[in-house]
Amino acid sequence: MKVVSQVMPSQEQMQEFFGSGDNGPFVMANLLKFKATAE
Amino acid sequence: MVSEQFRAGSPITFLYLVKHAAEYPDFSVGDAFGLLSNIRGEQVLAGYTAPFPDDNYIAGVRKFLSCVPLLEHHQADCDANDRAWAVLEAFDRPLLTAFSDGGPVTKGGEAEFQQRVPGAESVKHTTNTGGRHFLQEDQPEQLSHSIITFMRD
Repeated sequence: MKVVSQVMPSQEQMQEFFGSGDNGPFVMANLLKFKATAE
Repeated sequence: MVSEQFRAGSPITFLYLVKHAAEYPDFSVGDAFGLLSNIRGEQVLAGYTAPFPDDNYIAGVRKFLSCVPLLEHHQADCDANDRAWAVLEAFDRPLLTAFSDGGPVTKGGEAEFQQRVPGAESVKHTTNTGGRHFLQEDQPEQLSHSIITFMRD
């Protein structure tokens, strides 16, 4: 599994993200809500 | 494309830009505009970057995008907007609205100004056509004509 940090997106990540051909819906997951479980 | 969703007003793609602007150390207004607007001229983009020669000047820009109230913790920004509207609702000097009819975020927003600001009541408002969010770049002559006509009247 490839894990890429997008927490602080760089200009290169911006170009990759906004230049992507993906056209489906976006889902935003708030991982902080799972913090207690993870710990 | 994702960029098309952004230009259509997708909130989640906007939040990606918010994170970039707020936290990327080398954030550049010109680079962001070059990526996300229709502005292509290097000199024009440099003009948007010029007011922020280094990171000492850019705190406001970094914060500005995050003031768009999309999340629960934005209540303070909503309250600030309400206080701003209270000032506008007491503004009785002439106020022109000259919005773009193609701005994905602001299209139609003129109605609230026209209804709530006393100074907007007796003004002949205009709606600019054929432009998008950066109306001053997309339709500069049309927008200038709207403003000049308003000031002459």
